[in-house]
Amino acid sequence: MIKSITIVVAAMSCVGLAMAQSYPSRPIKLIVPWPPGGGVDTSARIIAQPLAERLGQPIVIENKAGAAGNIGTAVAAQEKPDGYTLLMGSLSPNAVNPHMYSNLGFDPVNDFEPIALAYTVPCFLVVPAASPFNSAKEVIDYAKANPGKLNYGSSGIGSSQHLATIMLQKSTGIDVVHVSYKGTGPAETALVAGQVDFMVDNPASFPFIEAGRLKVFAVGSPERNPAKPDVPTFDELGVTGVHTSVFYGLMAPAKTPKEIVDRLNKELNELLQTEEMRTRLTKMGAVAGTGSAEDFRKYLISEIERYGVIVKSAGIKIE
Amino acid sequence: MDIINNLVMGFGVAATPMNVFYAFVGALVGTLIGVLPGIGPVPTIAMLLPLTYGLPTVTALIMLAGIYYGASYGGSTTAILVNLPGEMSSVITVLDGHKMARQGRAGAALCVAAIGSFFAGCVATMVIAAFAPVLSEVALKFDAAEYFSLMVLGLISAIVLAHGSVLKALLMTLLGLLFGIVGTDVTTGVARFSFNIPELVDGIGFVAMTMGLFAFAEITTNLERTSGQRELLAEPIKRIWLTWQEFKQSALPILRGTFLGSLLGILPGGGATLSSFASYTVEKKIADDPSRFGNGAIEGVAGPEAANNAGAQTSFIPMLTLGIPSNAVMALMAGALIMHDIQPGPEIMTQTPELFWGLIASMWIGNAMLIVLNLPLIGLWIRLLNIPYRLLFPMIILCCTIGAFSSNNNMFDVWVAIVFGFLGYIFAKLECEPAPLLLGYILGPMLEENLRRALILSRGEYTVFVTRPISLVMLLLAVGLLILVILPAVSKKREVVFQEEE
Repeated sequence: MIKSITIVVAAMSCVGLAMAQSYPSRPIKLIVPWPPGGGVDTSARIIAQPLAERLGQPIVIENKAGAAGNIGTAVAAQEKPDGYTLLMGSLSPNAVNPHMYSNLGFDPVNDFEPIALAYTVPCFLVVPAASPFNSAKEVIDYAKANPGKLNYGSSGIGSSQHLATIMLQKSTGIDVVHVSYKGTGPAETALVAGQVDFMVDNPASFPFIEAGRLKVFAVGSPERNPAKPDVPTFDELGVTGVHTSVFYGLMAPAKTPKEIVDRLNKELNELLQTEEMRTRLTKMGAVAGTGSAEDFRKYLISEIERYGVIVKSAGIKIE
Repeated sequence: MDIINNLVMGFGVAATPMNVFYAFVGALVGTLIGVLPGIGPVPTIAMLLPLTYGLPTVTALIMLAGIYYGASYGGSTTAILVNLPGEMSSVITVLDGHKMARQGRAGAALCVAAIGSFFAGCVATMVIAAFAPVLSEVALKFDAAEYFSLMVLGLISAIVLAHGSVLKALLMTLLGLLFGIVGTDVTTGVARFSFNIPELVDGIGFVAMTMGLFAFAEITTNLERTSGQRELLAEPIKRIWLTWQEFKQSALPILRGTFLGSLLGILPGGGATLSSFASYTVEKKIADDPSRFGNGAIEGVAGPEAANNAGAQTSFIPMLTLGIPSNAVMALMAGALIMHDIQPGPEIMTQTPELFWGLIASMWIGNAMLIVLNLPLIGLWIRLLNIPYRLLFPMIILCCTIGAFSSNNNMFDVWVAIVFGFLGYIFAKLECEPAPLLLGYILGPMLEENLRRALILSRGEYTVFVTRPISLVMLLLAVGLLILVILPAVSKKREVVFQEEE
């Protein structure tokens, strides 16, 4: 009896090993829970092509958009955990939405096997070029002296821009008015045109900074950003607790064999270290992820907790 | 002359055999998917994007741009022939284009659409080349208040769209506004009327809704008739080309449509959508006999088609000069640029001028391709209508279902299409036009969003709408239009009164 169990176990582990060795033997589907174009889709497309070359099998991107990423993420959670369906995880559906939606359709922690963090992009405090402010301190001082006077833009309720500004408000006690737009594009247009006073925006605003249409004062990450080494962090300026980085990472449905997860983790990490990838990511203001699948899981859990506090304190509820 | 030099450089880039080839491929693929009902440029470009990684950046963009305007042109073909608009802009083309087709003038309708689009495309490209930087600054002058007033103007023109009862058009617009409310409210983030269905958090899908209202409803109404009475085209096709008379009738509408489209296209968020409506409204208002509209007036095809294509071209302006994608296709193209290591933004023009001017030159080439491709194809498209209904109907249903599904890769949209198919059938029985409903559905949410945003920015001060000059002008235009709509009704009533007194 015991012998036969051992045999079965041995056989099973052999199967697992064989699976990982022959993996991938057919095309891999990568679910992007957002429409084509935009940050998450771009992140998936940036890594999919070179990763597919490394794995020797094509990676097919499937856009399953809707409900701020919830629909596609819920679909990915239900897929077979055989390594042939992956998910491009990101900040909103995987760490923020669980606090805002009552009918998520997935469990952000238990339904997924985190594979690897691809990269993070921090937020930057930016103002229009014509703005009278010349530093983060000037913006904050003015906002303190004139409560409810300044407007800030965001790409929507619960967006990284919105949450980062809430962190800034909590840290400094300023009172500023939120003007929500339908997406980053319209929000940035309004900022460039001076219709709102400032925004804590992701690096999508870099081209405007380079063209001299926006001024950048601070970055919301623990370290300075390699793309903008002259921009101080909020921490350096004495404004603590403003840390918002949008993350993009590869995930798989829960119970995907560890061998497959580790293989993908290794390949992605190696890819991220290539010269070509490094230059491309730096240009985008992105910081390449490193570390094991376990590191990514820990990162995810701490992000989920951190945003839970912010969302609750701001009282955001979609449904 | 800078522009001349730049354009020469642009043509140097775009007119290489390889780029011309890809412009042709793009236009061809675009036209084909445009003709297939419901399958739009967004899924196509998303699908073809990986194929372009290996191409040089300019070539990739030229091909994607070709797909974009090819699709917008191909959509008109379906709108005219089978009464099925694939996208917002061709909703207008359906009104008179399909009526023309029923009168056996499908060839003329397709022809005027091709010529109008070609002319408008050429002029709009010139506008981009000459004024892109200036125009993008104009677009920045549009704040929430201005957008609100623009939407008011658009909604009022919806009433003009009606060629039957004004009351029915008004009610359909209102119904459209109500459907538009479904989904997440931009200002507060609350999901409205979503009944805990995640798919409804983003609102009702446009493609699914149109497929239902037009395709499913049309086919159902047709099936009800006995086979002898079934009609897509009541009369045999007489000619493929325009008569001299039709040509003369279309010339001015094309000119006006081009002007309107070029102007509205630069506004990100709704500008290009409004242009075909605006053109139709103008043409109907200045026509000697407005009653012809909705019954196969060639001006009602010529103007909006020109406006639509001009708008499609100038909507590249915010993208090229500011890096701001004005619609989903532009967002994909911005993504394609990032793939090629180019950050889309205000510096594209100065840092990669060969890309900027090459793309502009390719628009000309692409438009020329479209007309070369489509004029000979008109004969072929028309022959599609000779396909027996037992084959044509299932084919249309199949395409529409795929189209609805592929908009989000989700079955939910197919169910939505079916529900709207039932609704559309009821509307057809009640003789209510779906076009005003779609306009209300598109404009309503934008109207609300901008109204509330304007009021947040003004801290509740309603006077912003009249103290800002651009907004004031548009509101005055809206009032003027309203008076124009009401006046004939008033004078008619008076006639009736006088007749009774006699």
